[in-house]
This record gives sequence, structure tokens and C-alpha cells, in this order.
Amino acid sequence: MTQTVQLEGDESAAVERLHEQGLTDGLPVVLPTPERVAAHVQAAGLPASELVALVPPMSGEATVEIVASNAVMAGCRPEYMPVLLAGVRAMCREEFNLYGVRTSNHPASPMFLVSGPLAAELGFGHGTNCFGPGSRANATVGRALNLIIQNVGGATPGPIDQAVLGHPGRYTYCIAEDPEAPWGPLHGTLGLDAGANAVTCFAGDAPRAVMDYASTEPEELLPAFARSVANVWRDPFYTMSEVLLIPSIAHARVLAKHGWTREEIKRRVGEQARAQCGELPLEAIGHVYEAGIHLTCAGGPWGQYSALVNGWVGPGPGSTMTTEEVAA
Amino acid sequence: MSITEGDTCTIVAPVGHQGRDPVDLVGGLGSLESRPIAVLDISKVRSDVFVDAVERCIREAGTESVERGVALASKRMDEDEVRGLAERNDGAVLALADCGTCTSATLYDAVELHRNGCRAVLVTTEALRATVDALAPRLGLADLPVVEVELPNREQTAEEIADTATAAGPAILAALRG
Repeated sequence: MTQTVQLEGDESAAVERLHEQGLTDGLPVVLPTPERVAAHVQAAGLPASELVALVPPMSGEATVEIVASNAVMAGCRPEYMPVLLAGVRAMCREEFNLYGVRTSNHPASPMFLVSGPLAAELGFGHGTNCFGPGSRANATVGRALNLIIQNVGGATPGPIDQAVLGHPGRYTYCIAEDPEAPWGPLHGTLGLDAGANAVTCFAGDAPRAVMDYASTEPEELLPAFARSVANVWRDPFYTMSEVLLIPSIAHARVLAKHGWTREEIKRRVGEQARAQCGELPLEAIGHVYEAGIHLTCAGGPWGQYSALVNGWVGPGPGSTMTTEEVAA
Repeated sequence: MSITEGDTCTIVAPVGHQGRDPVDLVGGLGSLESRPIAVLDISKVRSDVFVDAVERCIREAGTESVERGVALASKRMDEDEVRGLAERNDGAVLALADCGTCTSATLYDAVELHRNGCRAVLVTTEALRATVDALAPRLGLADLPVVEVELPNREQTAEEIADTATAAGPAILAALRG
């Protein structure tokens, strides 16, 4: 049943009430009027009252309508709803451990990767400045998901969300995967058909740059990625942290130049990173560092810059990357 | 299109029902003699120093047995783990909740131990008390027994940590006894 609330004053005043009640991220929001929310519910193609997930940490009930309300506030277009719903389901899966991720002192936050043909149809950006401004879909879907964690999950900054510093991805952290990735979509490695539309969720710190604008052969380029991976592995406080490598398409072309597959590139990066590290802190308990390397592809069409996003505490004691198919 | 009706705007609430089912507080254990007690370590840097001192206090109180275990700082226990601990122990001490997930995860575990009939006591720091107070009611047990120590664990030397834990010993025992 729709839970409506009356806010005193005109629209500007009502938005101020939402700020005062801690229901925003500090940026202006669109007022979630019943008409606007209804349009988003209709686009979802599901009953308004249908439960999508219980959102950690406070096990908040996210119905389609409540997701839609946050979507309106974030500035989403109605047609983004199926992607948003998949994102909610992905981050609320038990193995993702959103409960831990968003009550930690650590800055990590869910990063969302949208893949499949629907990403382009809806305008999700994988190209130039994809982690920055430019795509309304990236900006607003990522923002809506963060608002849902806060408003529905109860991860309010302060007593519940204890991040010492956080990072800008806690406003929005959503990009598309480059459909031209030579090694196919990431969700294909996580149990979905390569042709599916999917949202993959990774508990990530802010992206860090991987630079090499000299190498023209894959063997020359690998050390740039290996150095960044080794920096994560050597740090004893990144407990089992996974790494998401995001070569730009320019770097991807070099890495795949001689037909190396995703698995071969990951194996070679792992070997080189290990060679740089020497003995690693968690080897004694049998942790296999190489198993935590993931490979996707995004970024502008030229310029030899890539990114690495390192994770929170990795699978087992921490968070496992999840993926959800976007319902047709 | 105007969205204002008179002097108000109507919105669809962006929040949903939160919280878990309420839990009955397990009563105090009274005498600790002949009582099996679990001492659970968050397993972070120097947390074992704190927990060692807690264990000594509990053993000196004449408990039947002390089960040392881990309450991971990064993840809630699964249901079987909680159930097993509660079946083997009448009481439990979880320490030291002195970071974000150390607190949220162990607090959850402590509430679930009560749900399974084990009197759990959470030891936290002054800095995290607001988190405990905000979370506990929504996890189902507002009056969870909590012992508060003054200083964050990781800003103390091992010797200081042991002293802090030893000083908290009487309060921990009292919280178990009720």
C-alpha cells in the first residue's frame, strides 16, 4: 500500500524538509510525488507492493514503489527501473555482505557495472569520463542505489555508516562495461549468459589510475597492471581484497593483440604481481591472491589510461562480487 | 503541473519498514561457577590481547569452561554458528567492538545469541557507543548487555590494552551475572 507523506510548503520547502530529515545525500532531489513514482512503478512492470529485497544493514523493506521513490529523488528516468531493481537485488544478496560494507570504517562502497545491449539503449556510459559526469543513467542510477542504502537500508552517515573518510562513489558509482571488450562481458564469468543484460556489484574503493602510454605489446603493458595489483596485495590491511581491473579499450586492444583470453591476462598479471611482491601476508593460511583478480573494460576510445578498483575484505570473511540479470 | 495542494506537498515515502523481530533478553546467569562461557575475539590487530585478559577474568570467576572463538569483525555469523555457540554455552562475551564492522557484526551476533538462549555481553568503546545504541533496538534487543571501555583498542599499546581489559573485568562479570 502506498505510504504517502504530507510535507509543508511548496516544492522548494518540501525538498528542504527531506534534507532536514536526512533523506537526501546533500544534493538537491526531485520530489517523489505520487504521479512521478507511479510512472516509475509502471516502467518497472511489477506490482508497486512487490518486495524487491531487504536492504542491509537495517533489513529495510524495499518494495518496487519505495525503490521508485528513491529513483525519482535521484533524477532517474522511468525506463531505468529494471536496471535499478537488478542493482538492488545484486547488492542485497547475502554474499555481497552490504551489512558489513556499509557499516565499516573502510571507504568501500558498492560499484555497479551495467552490461549487455540494454546499457547502450538506456544511455549508460562506458566511454570517456565514465566515472565522472556525462551520463544521466550512470549518475542517477548510482545515486538512487546509494539513496536506497541510506533511506531504506538505514545506513545513515554517522552512527550507522561509520566510514572514516568514505569516497565520492558513495554519491554515485555506476558505469557501463564496454561492449567491445575483447574478452566478453564480466557477467559471463559469474554464471550469466554473455548475451544477457546484467548489473554486477563490487564493493570497491575509489578507482586508481593505471598508466602506460608507451607500450605497444601485451608483455610490455602487463607490468603497469601488475604494479597496481602488487600494491594492493602487499598491503597487510587489505584483507583478501579482490581487484577489479578496468583496462580502457586502448589498453585492452594491446592486451588482446595476440589473442590472449581473459583468463590468460589475469594469470599473467597475477604472475607478474607475485614476482614483485615476494612472500605475501596471507599465503601462510592458504589464500590464493590470483583468484581475486577480475577483468572488465571501460573508458574512452583513446589515451592509454586504465583503472584498478580494489575491494573491501574479500570473499569468505568479507564481500563477494555479485551479478543479477536485468529482467526483460 | 502544480504539485502543491494548498500548503502541502504529497510524496511517496522513500523509506520502508526496518528492523528485525524483537528478541527476549536472556536473564543474568547469577553465579558463573559451573557455567560454560564463550569468549569471542573480533580477530583484528591486538584484539587477542584484550580477549586474553577477559578470559583470565572469567576463568578466575570459576566458570566451568571457556570456549575461545572468533566473532569476525567483517561479517555476521551464520545461523548454524550462532546456534552451535548457544547450545554449548550459557553466556558469551564478544570483544572488542572498536570499529565500524567490528561493532555492527558483533552486535548482530550478540543479539542473535540472545535469540538462541545465550546471555551475550558486548564489549565496546566509548567511541562506538552511539552506534551500539542506534543499532541494537533495530536488531531487536535494545537492552543488550553492553560494557563500555574508554579508549579505542588500536590507539593503545598491548600493555595498555591488557590493563584496559583487566579493569573492565568486573563489569563484564557483572553483566554476565545480571
